Order: sequence, then C-alpha cells, then structure tokens
Amino acid sequence: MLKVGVAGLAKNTGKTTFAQTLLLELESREVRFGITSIGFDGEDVDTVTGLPKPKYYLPEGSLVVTSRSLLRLSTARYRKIREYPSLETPLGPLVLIETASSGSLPIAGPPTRATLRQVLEDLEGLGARLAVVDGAFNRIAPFTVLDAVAVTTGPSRSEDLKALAEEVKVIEKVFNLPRFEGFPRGLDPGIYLLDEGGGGLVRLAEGEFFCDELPPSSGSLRRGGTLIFNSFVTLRLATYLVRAVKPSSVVFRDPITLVLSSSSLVEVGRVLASLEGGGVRAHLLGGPALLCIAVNPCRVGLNPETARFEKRCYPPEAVLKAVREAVTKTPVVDVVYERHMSLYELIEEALRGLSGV
Amino acid sequence: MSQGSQRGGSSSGVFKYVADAIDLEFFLVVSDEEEARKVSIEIVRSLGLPDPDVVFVESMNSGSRVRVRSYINRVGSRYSWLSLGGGGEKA
Amino acid sequence: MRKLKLLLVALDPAHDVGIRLIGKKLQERGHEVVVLPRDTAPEEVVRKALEMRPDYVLVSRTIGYDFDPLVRLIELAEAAGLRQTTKFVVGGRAVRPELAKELGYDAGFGPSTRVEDVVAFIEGVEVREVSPALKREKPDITRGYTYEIRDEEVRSLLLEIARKTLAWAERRTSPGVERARLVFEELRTYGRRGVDMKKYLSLCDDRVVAFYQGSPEIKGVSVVGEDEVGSLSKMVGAYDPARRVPTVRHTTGKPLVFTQFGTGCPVADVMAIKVSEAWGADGVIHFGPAWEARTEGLLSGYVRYSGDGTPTTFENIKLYARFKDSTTLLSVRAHRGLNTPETVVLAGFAGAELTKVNPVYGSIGGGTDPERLVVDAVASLKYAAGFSLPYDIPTNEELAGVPPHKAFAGMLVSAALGLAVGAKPVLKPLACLSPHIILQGYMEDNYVDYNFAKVMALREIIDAPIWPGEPIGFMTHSEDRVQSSLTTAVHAMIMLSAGVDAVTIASSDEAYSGGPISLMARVDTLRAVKEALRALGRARIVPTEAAAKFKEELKDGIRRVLKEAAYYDNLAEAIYSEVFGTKEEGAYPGRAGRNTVTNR
Repeated sequence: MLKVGVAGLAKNTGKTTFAQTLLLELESREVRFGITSIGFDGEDVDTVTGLPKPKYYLPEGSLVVTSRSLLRLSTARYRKIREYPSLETPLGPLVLIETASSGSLPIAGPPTRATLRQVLEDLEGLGARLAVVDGAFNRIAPFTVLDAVAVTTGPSRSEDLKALAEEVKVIEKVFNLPRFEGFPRGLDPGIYLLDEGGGGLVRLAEGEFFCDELPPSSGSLRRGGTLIFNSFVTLRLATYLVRAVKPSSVVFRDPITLVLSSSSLVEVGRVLASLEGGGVRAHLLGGPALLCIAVNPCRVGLNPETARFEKRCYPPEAVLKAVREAVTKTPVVDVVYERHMSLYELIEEALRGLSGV
Repeated sequence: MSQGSQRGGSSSGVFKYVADAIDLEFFLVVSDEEEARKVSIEIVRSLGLPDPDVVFVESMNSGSRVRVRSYINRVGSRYSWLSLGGGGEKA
Repeated sequence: MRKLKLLLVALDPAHDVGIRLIGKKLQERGHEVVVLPRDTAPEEVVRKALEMRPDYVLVSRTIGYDFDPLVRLIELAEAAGLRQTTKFVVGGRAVRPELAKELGYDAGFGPSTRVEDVVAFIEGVEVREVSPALKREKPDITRGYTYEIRDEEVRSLLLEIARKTLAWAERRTSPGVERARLVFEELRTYGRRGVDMKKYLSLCDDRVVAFYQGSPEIKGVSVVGEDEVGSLSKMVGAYDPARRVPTVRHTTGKPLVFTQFGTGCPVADVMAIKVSEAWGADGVIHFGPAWEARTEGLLSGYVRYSGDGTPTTFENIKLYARFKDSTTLLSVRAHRGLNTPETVVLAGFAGAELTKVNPVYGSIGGGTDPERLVVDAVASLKYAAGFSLPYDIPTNEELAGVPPHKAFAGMLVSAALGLAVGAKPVLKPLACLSPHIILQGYMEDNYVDYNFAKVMALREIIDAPIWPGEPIGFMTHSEDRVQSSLTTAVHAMIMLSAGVDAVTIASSDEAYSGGPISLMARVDTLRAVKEALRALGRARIVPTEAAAKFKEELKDGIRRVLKEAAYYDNLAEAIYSEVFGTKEEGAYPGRAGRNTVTNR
C-alpha cells in the first residue's frame, strides 16, 4: 500500500483540496483507498478564520479513519469496521469505517506517528492500495512513516513569490538528498561518527538534541569521517558539530527531521548550501519521498480594516511560474487551475519507486 | 440591507449613524455554548448585519445569555459619520 | 492515586496565571510539577520534557489567531519521540476541541475550564466530587428566630391589638373565608379542584362562574394546552440540575436572593423560574393579575392571561412547584384582594414554601376593604400556620407616600396577629426611594443610612427574619440595563451589610413598562448581584451617624402609631380611622369586598 501525506507549509494552502482531487481520481480508476487526517478536515467552517471550508466528498467504498463523534455528521451511509477505544483525541476516540454510499464526512484521525502507523496497518490489511493522510496547519512530523509527501504552498504562506520559491527550492533539495546506506538499522537515537579510517562506528552522544550544545558526557570529537545524526538535532548544533568534526559527509535522519531542525526553511537551505560549498556531502538515512509541490494561489488573511479573515487570489499562472522555476525535477501542480493534470500519474511514479522499478 | 449609496457596504443607509457597533442582547434556549455561539452569529448574519462577533456568552441548563456584536464602523476604517453633523444631512 | 510527573508552561508572552494556578493545585495534590517560565521556547520545553519524562505536558496560550508556538511544540515533541510516553494538553481562551485536534494535541481545554476539571482529567477520574449545585440545601428563612418582642411598650401594644382583632374576627366570616373552607375540604379529600363546584360558584362573581361554564368573560384569559405542558415537561426534565450557578453568595450564608415572576403565562413563568435558578436565585415569588384582587373566586386549570400577572390557580402553582428545583423556595402572594385565604390554601396544598399576608397594606394600598381583608387575613394566617408556611409582610404603602413608621406599625400588627395563631412572620421593609424619603431628604446623601435605620429599628423591636423587597432599590432603577443592574447590586451589598436574611431583586427590565420581564434581564441582575457579593465578601458597608438618628425616629413613630391603634376595637377600625396612613399620605381604604363581611 502506498502511504501518501499532504503537508502544508501553512494553513489554507490547499491540502484538503489536493487530497480531495486525488480521491476523486482514485475513485474514477477504481483504486481502493483509505483516507484520514492528522488534524481536523472537512468541517463546515474553519476553526480559526470562520470561513467556509471544503468538505470531504467520499465515494462509496472509501475506508475512513475519523473520530467517532463526527460520524453523526456523515451524509454517507457507512459500516463500522473497527473501533479504537484507546486512541483518544479531543474529538473522541477513533473509528475505522467503510462508506456504503457516497457522501460527506469530516475527518479527524490519528494525531501522532505511532497512532498513524497503527491505523495505516489496518488500512493495508483491508486491501487499500493507497492511503492518503491529510495534514493540519503546517504540521509534518508524523509523516516520517509515509512513503511520499505532497507539500502544499502558496500566498497563504507568503505573499512574496520570491520567498515562496526560495522555500520550495529548499524543500526539493532536502527531500532529494541521496540516501546513505552504511548505517545499521535499529540503533539507539544519538549522534554517531563513522570513521573512514577503519575505526568503525562510534557514538558521540545519545538521545535527542533540542539544545545547541552537546551534553558534557559526550565523547571527544574526532576529525573527518561521516557524521551521522540518528536523532533530532537543532540546525545550530549540527553546524557547530560539522565545524568541529569537519566530516566528509553528514547524514540526517530523514527530510522531515531536517526541515524541523530550524524554524526557518531558508536557514536550512543556507546550511545545506554552505555544506556543499565546503565540500561536505549531505545524505539522509531514510524518510518519505517528495511526491510533488501543490500550489494554491489564493490566500486567507486577516484584513486589518475589517478585522475579518478574507480570501484573496493571486493570478495562478504567476504563482505556478514562480514555483516551477524554483524546482528542477519536482512536479508542481495547481489542482484547481490546471484541472486536466493527472495526479494519478504522480502516484504511479511513486508506486514504481516503491517497488524499486 | 444597505440602501443605495455611493459607498455601499455596511455603513451606508441608516446604518451610517451608528458610531461603531450594534450589540444584540438576548437569551437563547439552546443546549450548550457551542450552539449558542453558532446561533448568535447566524442571527446577526440573517439580519443582514456585518462582521458578527460573540462578545459574551454564559450557558446554563436552561439556555444561554448572549451579547453579540456587529461592527458597523471599525476603528481605522473610513467612518461613515465623519461627514455628518454641523449643518450636514439630518436623519 | 498515582503520583504523576507534570510539566506546565504558558506559551504566551503575557498570561500564565491560569497555568500557575493549575500547577499549584496539582502540586498540593502530591504530584511532581515543574512550571516553566512564560513563553519558554518550544525547543527548551521539549528538552526539559526529555529530561523529565513527564506523564503530561500542559500548555496554555491566550492569543487566538497565531498558533505557531503550539504547532512547533507538538512537532518537536513528535520528532523527539515523546508522544508515546507523554500526553500533550493545550488550554486557552481560543481552544475548542476542533482546534486542539487540528493542532495535534491529545486534549484541549477551553475558556470556561476550571482548575478542578483539569485536575480531574489529569488524574483520570470522573469529576466525582459532587457539584456544588447539587449540594444545595433548602433554606429556612425563619430558622433561629425567637420572635421575642424586645421593646416592652411595643409588645404590650401589639398583644392588645392582636387580641382584640382576633376576638372580633372570630365572630365574622366572608365569601373569601367560606370559599377557602370549601377548597380546603375539596383538596384534602380529593387532592384536586373541580369535584363539587356548585357551592363554590355560588360564592363567586359572575365572571368567574362564566369561566367555569366555558364562556370566559375576563378579557385576555385563555387556557394552556396539555401538549404545551407536555413539551415543557420534556424540556425541563432534560435539564442537568448541576449545570447552574450554585449560589450568588460568596463567603456569607446570607442573604437569600429571590426574584419575582408573573409573565401572565405559566409556561413562560416556568422558564423564568428555571433561568432564575440557573443563575443562582434561592427563591421565586409569584404574583397574579390585578383583576384577581377585585374578583370573588379564583379560576382553575393552566390558565394564562395576556397582561401582567399569571392567574392564581391550583394547577399553575402546582406547575411551579413541580418544575422548580427541590431547594428553591416558592412564594405565593395572598396579601390583598378577595381571595387571600383561598390562595394560602392552594399554596399549601400545591407545595409552595412561603406566602404573603398584610391586611394593612392590602387595604390601604391594595384596594381591598379593610374589614373584609382583616377577617380574611386572620383566616389566611391560620391556614399559613397550619401549612407551616412562613408569610412575609410587605409595606408597599410606603410607595404611595405613607411614612415608613406607619407602614412598619402595620407590619408589626400583622406579625403579631400571625404569631398569635401560630404562624411565622417575615418582616418586609422596603429598601426604596419612597415619596416620604424624598420629601424629607433622607437619601439626599446616600442610600445607606435610611435603609440601615429601617433594619436596625426592626431588629431592636423584635427578633424576627427581615427580607427587604420587592424589589430592593425600588424607585432607583432606570431603563438602562447597566444602571439598573448596578443599583440592584449595590442595594444587595447595603442590605447584606445591614444584616438582612433575604432580598428580592429586580431584573434589569424593572423600569421598562412596555412588556413582560425578559429572561436576559433576569440574568443581568443575578450576575450583577453575584459580582457585588463577591467583592464585598465578609466586609461591610458602614452607615454614617445619621442612621442611628433615623432609627430612633422610626421607633418613636412606630410606638406612637401602635398606641393610637390600640384605642380601637380592632385593626379594621384603626385602618378606617387613618391610623396607619391618611389620605393625604396616599392611603385609601379599598372598596373591593365592602359590606361582604357577615357574622358567623
């Protein structure tokens, strides 16, 4: 089963619209799919802005994981396949259903990586060929368990098209860093050094690093080799260690951890550029692929004059152009403006990548 | 809601005399705060008033006490009443 | 209960009192609590959480449109691998379940969250602590009072007047008394009205007879359908009795707070009662329409009236008794008019807790003939004693212009009459801006001194409960809801300071004469009074030295009036002779029921 997530760089960048478009294509191709969300999608009105939101239209035969309390809002008939009484959310425990007719239903699913993984297993067991996971706000952390991520962006993220393009460039770069094969699976989280000179693998520090300095109990730093961050590490700490160790290669855990290591994507891009400039190769231990960049040329912003949230749209071609020029090989789509584009082709590409073709 | 006027919008017609906002105060026979908020906003909207905001709501078993506001002239916007007064048009 | 590890932080540049209060409470309960400084960076929070491995991380944020720090925290928590071992909880003004879910938190707490709710959630228990609303007890307004008349002179005068009046009344009866007897027998035997109406109707006015014969002549009177009562029953039955303000009092046990109702419709009345209760009222007082006072006989059934006041019927009163909280006190007025003893009988059988009797005011201010009303009042008081219904004694003649000392003399006579037959009186001075007070300038400086003086004077005369109303602050309200609520609240503070047992409060619609009282207006003043009593606590407003002077004047005046009243054969004669108020002062002996008293 291909596991695809839709993550936004900001709220209102079109995550649900993208996911919905994908579902409709899957329906037309009669692909059995599962759908869920790490947040709350398909409600009538946005939780923050109060503006109407797109509801999820689900065809018959959709496998859906949502909060039990939302089922009463379903206009689709459904049958309950599994209850998860221990998976509690602010909207109640989760439940897995299959729709028996088409209709709409808000979706609020597993909020964490671990609960998402559990639910995805069940979807796969029920024969879904594809699982779509809608995001929330600009959250992305739970998506490390997925195969591919579509990243949505647009003027809701930034009205400066250049800045938007800059970020997209970084996203592409981060997700496309080459994979590193020389690190054994299952090792405890920590910072490791693979000695090129045959000294083997040494752990410099254990745990996850949310501060900018190494704990005093760390081992002494050597020079050279491959510096492996099998943990979260702040970008600042990472750059400090690179300067201290002067490795020939740096390996990050996955693209999402790297993206989270700084609150500024531009900063991440700058660090990667300086690594490259200093002849240090950057890699990833694993993590999802980048399916595509999806663009929503409309933004929802607070109008200071009326103190209300309002929707304003930029010319879609201009936004698409700016973003397409920023990437080298990642497909860029606007599912509303360019309706003729097939998302399924992207899926097929990803499925091929999955099976190693 | 707004009668013909060059500016149109919420602060036209007779509403131009409203300095800033209109408050609606009422008691709703609803089951909880969520419902009270939803209904209050809808009441303001269905009356054709702009920009609803629930100022106060307190809910008990028999219903909810609500004050909901509709902003006619927000601070920083073009005040509809600035051209009134001192020999100007009367209501 | 397991000791938990808890990490708390306000991801907010300004507001952290809430999170600190929660932290303090949790610490008091024995948990290991760490509260980080306001606005600590999410990275730092996660670092601390990795070090501490808490069971819960509680985060608060007041700002309602920028959630970046909350998202950053939850993302870093996921990246750190904390989500499986630590639960993340978010709270704040803007938090709703949908928002908490969208943010990815395990639980969310919104703006009306109490510290106890958070504690209960953390400890994984249902809030088993009984809601304070359910711990309410039914108050007894007369408890602890001995009714000892402390002033010697007043005592002997009152005893004399009461003795003579009772002896006089024993030999007399009226249609009102006779009807009350019939109704009492009927209700005692059958538990309902309408079984044998013949004799009853022979004692009623034609209009009332017409009603029972199916052709109502009283304009505006109609009957509520059974289906309406059924729907009302379903709706009220579904109310959670705990979902109310437990009390408007703060740290004192007094005063009890009453509101009035008489919308004309019993269904709307029930809503008025439920809303009053929900916002903390202790009791509710029913009042009927003005025409009832001039009409021999009461109607039956769920009768509504299109004007002010809901018809006093057995079924209506039973409706109120049925739907009110068991701890709410229901009072039914019987102080004027031609149906006073019958009203007390209905009140007693229907399950009311209090009634109202005052033949002095009822006749010089309420339009009923003094002779008739005194005879009826004695019967009313005997019934009140029999049903153990305390009765309050209103002094509204003061509003017509009668000086308060005269009104108080009348009130004390009514009290003495009741005491003589075993009933329990409750004194009801007005806390008002009456004509006499205005003319004399007694409240030119403040509302405190004279109101204090009234209470002090009564306390020095008799050991009895005092319940100012209806309502307190009478004549100080305007149509503006803020001013109206404020004067009510301030008067509540003054009366609490003066040491009264109960007060009746107005709604903020008090001065509005265009229609019945709205529910929102009731909520306004209950909230205002609650806030005022919160502010005052056990502190007190203190009068100036003028209060003592006013008090002595009142007491002197009361003695003078009682001395004069004692000359007469009975209370009715004294009333006719203008002892308790002259025509110039606005006291007019009523005409309703004139010449209807006969010898037994």
